[in-house]
Amino acid sequence: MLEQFFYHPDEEVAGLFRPATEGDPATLASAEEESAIEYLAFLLEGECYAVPISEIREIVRVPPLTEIPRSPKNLLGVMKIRGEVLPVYDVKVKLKLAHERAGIAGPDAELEGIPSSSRILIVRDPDGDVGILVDEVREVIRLKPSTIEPLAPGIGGGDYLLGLAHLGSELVILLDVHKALL
Amino acid sequence: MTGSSKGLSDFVAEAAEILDSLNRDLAILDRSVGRRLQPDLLNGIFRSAHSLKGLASMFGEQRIAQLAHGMEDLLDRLRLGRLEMTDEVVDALIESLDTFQVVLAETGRGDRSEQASRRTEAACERLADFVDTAPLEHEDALDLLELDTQVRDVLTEYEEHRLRQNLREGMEVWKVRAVFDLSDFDRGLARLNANLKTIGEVISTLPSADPGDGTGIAFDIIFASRVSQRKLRSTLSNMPASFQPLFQARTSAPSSDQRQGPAPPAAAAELRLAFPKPVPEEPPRPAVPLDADSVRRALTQTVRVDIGRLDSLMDAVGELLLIKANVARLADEARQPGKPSPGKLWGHQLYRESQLLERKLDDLQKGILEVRMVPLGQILDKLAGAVRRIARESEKEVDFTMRGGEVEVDKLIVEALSDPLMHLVRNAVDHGIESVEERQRRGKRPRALVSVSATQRGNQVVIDVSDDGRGLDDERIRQVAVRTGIVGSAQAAQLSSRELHSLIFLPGFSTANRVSELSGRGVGLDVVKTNISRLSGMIDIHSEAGKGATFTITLPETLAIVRALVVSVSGRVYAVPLNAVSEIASITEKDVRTVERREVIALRGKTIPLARLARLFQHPEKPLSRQFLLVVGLAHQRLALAVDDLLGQQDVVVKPLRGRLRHTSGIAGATDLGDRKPVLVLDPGAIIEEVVNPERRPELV
Amino acid sequence: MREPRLAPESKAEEPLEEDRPVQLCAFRVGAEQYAVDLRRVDEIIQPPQLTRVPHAPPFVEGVIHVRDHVIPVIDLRKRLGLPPSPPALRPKCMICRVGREWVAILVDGASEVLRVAMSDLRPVPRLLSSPARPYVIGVCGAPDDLTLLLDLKALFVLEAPPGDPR
Repeated sequence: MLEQFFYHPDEEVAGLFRPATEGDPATLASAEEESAIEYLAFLLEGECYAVPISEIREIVRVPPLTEIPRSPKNLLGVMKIRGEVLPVYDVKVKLKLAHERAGIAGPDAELEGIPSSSRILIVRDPDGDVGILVDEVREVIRLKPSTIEPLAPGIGGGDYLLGLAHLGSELVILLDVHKALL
Repeated sequence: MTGSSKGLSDFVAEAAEILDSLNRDLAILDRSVGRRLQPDLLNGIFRSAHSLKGLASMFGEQRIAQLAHGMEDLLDRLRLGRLEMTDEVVDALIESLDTFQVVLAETGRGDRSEQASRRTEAACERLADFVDTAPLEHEDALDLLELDTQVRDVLTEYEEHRLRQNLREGMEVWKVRAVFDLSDFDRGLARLNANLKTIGEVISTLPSADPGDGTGIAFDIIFASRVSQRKLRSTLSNMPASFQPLFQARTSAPSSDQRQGPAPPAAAAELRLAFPKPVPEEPPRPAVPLDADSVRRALTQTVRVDIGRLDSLMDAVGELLLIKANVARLADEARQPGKPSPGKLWGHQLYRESQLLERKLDDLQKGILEVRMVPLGQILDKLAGAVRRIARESEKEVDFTMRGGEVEVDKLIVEALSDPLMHLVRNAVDHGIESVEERQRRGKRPRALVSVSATQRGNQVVIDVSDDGRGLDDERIRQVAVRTGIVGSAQAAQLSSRELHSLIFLPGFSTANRVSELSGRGVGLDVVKTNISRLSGMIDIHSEAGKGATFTITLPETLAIVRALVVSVSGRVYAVPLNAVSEIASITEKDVRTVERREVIALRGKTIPLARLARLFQHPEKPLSRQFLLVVGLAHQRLALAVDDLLGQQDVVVKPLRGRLRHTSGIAGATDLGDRKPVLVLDPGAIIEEVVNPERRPELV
Repeated sequence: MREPRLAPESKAEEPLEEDRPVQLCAFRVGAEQYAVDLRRVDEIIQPPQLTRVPHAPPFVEGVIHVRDHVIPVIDLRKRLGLPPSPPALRPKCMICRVGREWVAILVDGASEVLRVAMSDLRPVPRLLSSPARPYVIGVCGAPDDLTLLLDLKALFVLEAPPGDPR
């Protein structure tokens, strides 16, 4: 009875930390030996995307942004975080979820135009960390690599989508965030 | 020449102490012949010899001083790896020690014997014999590290040697970065070094050029060790330190390496080296060629600092801590329950502390900036070598002079200047300077002169690169300009000499097949100009046909802090480096005229081009009755920038835009005006370039 | 203070096992004192900035970003069905391990380490009434000074356990 109380590194953890999809016992069994990778799931225009959590340095609320004149269309501007100046991108443009970037920098900015749940994910990048704007941050999910489905032709995505995963009834799209910035 | 008897006994006592420590060290050395030497041991012996030499010279004890000097020379070669440690060498050192004892004993008694003098001479000769032998040749097939001058600037020769040595032995080299509180960084650093020394060798400790958060002081420690990454991590687990491998291997290891363990993660390639003569403890491992560039890049992020400068920084910090304590006390006083609200006296005290704070912070800031300053002499020396080499290659006779090597400039600027200056100097020798015969025909000195001189002017640095060669040929420039369509022929005829000269900075003039047409000028000058512009600097040329040419580069002394004019344009705020602004004026729409559809403005008799910043930056323009003009640029390339409003002036720290934003045209960086948003700092040089030469559209980021 | 124990029935318990020393991390929530296995507790910090996460279960206040990990945070008061704490009281954030994961719970504060023996830990008395009852897995201490042993893992289970009014 008191077993539950005491700490064991291998103890069963149900509930918040959902394992990946159910599959047939055979794949499940082989999936057992793999270690799951943690991803951060977030929403863009209602679609659920995910990025390995090791790539996420930080999650912050959307601060005032300074626009850069004559910058590429997916660059929203730059933000200041603890003395660092980082570029912030709107990945919806590349993902064709939007025609143009959100109008949230500059003096005519409408911060009301974006959902209040919007956040900026600060992503580690060897060329300098960058921020990406997302509509909403969801939770940390764990996926075993063998349960990830590669993209069928026709689903689109070019080289910036890495695969699909199923979380319950939901579809999660795995994103290569660095390619989505180009 | 011995001093008073008190002085003598002091000398003998001190010298005896040094000899004691030498004795201990040499005993260890004796046992270590043939085994791997602890670098600290040789260092310790070297220092003892050095101290003894100094001490003896002060007291006029020439015999001891001379022998100590000989010992120093020998030990220097030993620790730099130029001489191998053998039993004979140790014998010679021990003999020297014995000789010291004898001579010191004599001196203490007030004696001076022939015998002892002769023994000293013999010992000196014995040491000198080793020193004179040819330096040890390393027969390694891979002498990997061509560590060039930029690395040498950071590491002393000894440290460089230790780095090579460790790499030869297959050690891994890490850069350990630690950030300490300003108030006790010396203790923290000592503790960290002590910890690291238990598992490897600390090659160098350098203050970091990357201050990080700015609330502490950061160091980069170059550290060599054989231990695993995990062991290093656990050793550093309670310290404010992080680490990364110093180098990336250039190519992946050959397949035989796979057996050695799982492939390293992408970010942390490990370095494995192999040598035909393996070091005794290590089996040979497959070789991975080392990228000299990555070595250089890895190390030039660091800067070597004068301890004196650090000391004065510490003083400033100390005073700041005092002020902080006073302010805390005042705050406490005000918060006491039951006390009446603070009055004027209290306010006055607080005000005084805040004044002091401002002054001290100012001092601290200046002090920190000074730490980043390095003398230009570093590059000037390199230029001298380049001139000699190029002159030899092109069979010309060139003398090179340089002045102003002591002028100090921010380290980042020095590094960025290296290429452009090299370019200018190469141009001068290759194309500006005539052959010996031609010079003689023209009645010039057969030996040409190229000179580089740097001077400080206020908070700017001016660098002149001159030669007494052919100079620029106006007619040729005119022809090329017309032919390439840069200017119309009518216009070309009207351009003055100065205006023609400025054309050579355009890309159209840099293509190789134009070289001979312009008497050689123009190779890559647009790149030079862009590079200088990125440093918030300007470049100008002054030339007389047949007599020579001088390029003048004007730079701010430090990139880090710049006095800026804060302006607003279409509701956006920008900062403009004040050193680029020669004039400020206010105008109305009526004052704007056009020439060939380009807007211009008349200012004090001269008509100069006008650019509206709002239009340039594609911001919505506001119709204003009155606008402000900032005149930027040098004599013949000036531009009036129209902005909506002037908000003030202030010193700002410019952070260059990094990573993907590097190539943003017209923007030099971003700064903090205290608001939540960053404020962009303009690059006036690039803007002038863009407006005055509209054929060159800015590249998009 | 140890209560007299009823003699154990058929079960043969190793005497050594009973007296194994146990360390608990005890803290207050509302009027009660709770405890978890000290080995579960990594750190106790001031609550950092919380990022709300919609679509998370209602008892998850949000996530925090600590030491490179994104960790869900539960307000223990809420989860246990207690009224919200008075504003003057600043909650503390306890970062605990569950398996290989971390979770964080907000507690009222004043945590201390209790050293007890294994035999001091007892099952929940049937008559214990406490809103936290479903998550309490045992008790220790005197009846007028009980420390409730919290089943941390159960806190994070999505479905409410049977008997829970919510």
